[in-house]
Order: sequence, then C-alpha cells, then structure tokens
Amino acid sequence: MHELSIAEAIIESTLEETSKHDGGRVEEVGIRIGSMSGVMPDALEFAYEIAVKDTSLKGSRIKMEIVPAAGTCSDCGAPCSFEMTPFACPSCGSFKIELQGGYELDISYIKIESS
Amino acid sequence: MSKEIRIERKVLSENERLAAELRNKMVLNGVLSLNIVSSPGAGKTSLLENTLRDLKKEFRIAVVAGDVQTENDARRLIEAGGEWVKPLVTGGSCHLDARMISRALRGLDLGEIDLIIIENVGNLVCPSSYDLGEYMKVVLISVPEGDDKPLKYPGMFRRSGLMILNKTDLLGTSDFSIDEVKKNARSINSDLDIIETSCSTGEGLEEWYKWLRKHVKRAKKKAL
Repeated sequence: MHELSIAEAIIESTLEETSKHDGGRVEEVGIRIGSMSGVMPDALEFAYEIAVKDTSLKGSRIKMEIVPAAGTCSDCGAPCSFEMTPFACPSCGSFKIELQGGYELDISYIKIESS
Repeated sequence: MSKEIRIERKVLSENERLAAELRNKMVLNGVLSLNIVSSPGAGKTSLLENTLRDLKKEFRIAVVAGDVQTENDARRLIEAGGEWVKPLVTGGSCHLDARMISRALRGLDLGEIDLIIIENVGNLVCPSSYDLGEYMKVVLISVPEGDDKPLKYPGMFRRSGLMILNKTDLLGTSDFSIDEVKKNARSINSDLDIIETSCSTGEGLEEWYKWLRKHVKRAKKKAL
C-alpha cells in the first residue's frame, strides 16, 4: 500500500481541523484502521514520521486503533468477527457475511496541547 | 495540559466527496460506469478491444485508460474503434483516484454516453481503497495467475461485483481448476457474478456482452 500518500492525507486533514480550533500544537492524532483496509500500521507510522518533518505538525505522532472485520451472518444471524479471510460464520459455516466494519481509515481524534 | 478533540473524519474524505459527485452525475444521466481492475497482464485492454470492436454500434462507450507510463493501451483502444478514449498517465501513482477521473472526463457530455469504462492501473491492492464513483468494480484474473488468486487479494474481491476469468484457452497447460477458483472467489464474496472468457478465441465474450446489456439497461431505467 502507499502509506506515504495516506500519511500526507492525514496531515492535510489534521491541519484543516486544527485551523478550526484556534491552532495549538498537535501532540497526537488518533487513527482508526480497519483490518481489511490494506493499510499496514508499521508502514503508516514510519511514513507519518517522515511526512510530518517539514510541516507545522512536526513532533506529533499517530496513535493507531486496529478494528477487526465485524458483521453478521446473513444466513443464521450470528455476530462474527474476523482477523483474516475467508470469512466463514463460526456458527453455521456460511460465507454470506454482511460486514459492518473492517474497512475503516479514519481520523478519530486530535490531541492538542492547550496553553 | 492537552485537550482531545473528536474528529471522526475519513482520511480519504476528499476522494469520497469527489467520487460521490461523479456517481451522482452518472446516475442522473443514466450512464453505467465500471472500474476494471486486475494484476498487470491479465487482459483488461484485450477485453476492452473486443468490447469496443463488437459493441460500438450498440452503445456509446467512453473509456479512460490508466497506466503508470505510456499511452499504449489508449492507442490500442482507439485502433479497435473507440470513439472517446482518454489516456490517463499517473507518472508514478499506483492507483487512480476520483480527482484524476473528474479531470479526465472534462469535456465529455454524459448525456451522449451509455457506458463509461475506467481501465485502472494494473494492481489489485491500492485501487481497492479509491472509489472512482463507479457503479461497480469488475475484477479480472487470468488462468496463469493460479486458482487461489481471490484468496490473495480479499479486499479487492470483496469490493467487486463481477469477476472475469480470462485466458481460458490456457486451461490444461497448468493444474488450474475452475471449480477451485469459483469456490475461492465465493468464499470471499458470495455475491460475485463470474464469467469465463478467452479474449484470444472469443469464447465467453457474449456472456460479458449480455451482462453489460443488462446493466446498461438498468442504469438507464434508474435515470428516468
């Protein structure tokens, strides 16, 4: 995956959000990553460290929360959660799983140092 | 002291916004738009050459042909009879995004088109995260790639609506099993339509054309 361009998108969005909140030094950006999103957390962390160096977010870090692929079996209704494919219902074995989560790539919060 | 501000914003929100705009335009104009993805060399361009050659009298088709370098694919498609073919050279990006598509489609009157096909960069990983405003992703794989291919790229197979298995003329040259690839594909996405083709012999293309006709009709109906 191209974690560097994702890191740049995180920085762009963070700068936009902080400008709405009277600035202040950003310490930490909370990122939610779905296990099926294709984004590798280690690579993203590394890319962020690089991308942030020449910006006003220099010194900030990202804190990542990994979200499993979770949903419901369309055949028996059992709730299911998966670390990896294939997605087979643990109760009835069906492959018909309706996913509610697992593809996330969100900025959940920003921690700003208040003076 | 530090304060925490809840943001809850998608990282790719800008792409989502542009993709939603594109999707709206397509729906309003009754245009079917497809995003064709595959590994390099599976046969996307060959499929489109055949499609343009055989269906250009039936549908008004526009194609955006994406590649990291060269306009070779666009040239082939124009030679096959494509009347509106735009090359999209990314210069390095491993995927197309909604902004690139918006720009590429400038100057195209959507009221004059039935079908837009986006030929994505040959890559089954990165394009899965980038919505291009399409109605559906079509994932193309070929016999030489092995029948466990869907298991290796679950993200893309889950997000596609149709899988085309190309190069069926090469069955028998390896231990590729059609039953196995279908089983694998449906274990990742139980709703996947599957069509088998050989762009070199023409086998199966009529199935693909039937599928296209059905979905072009559906898109037109929605716009009325």
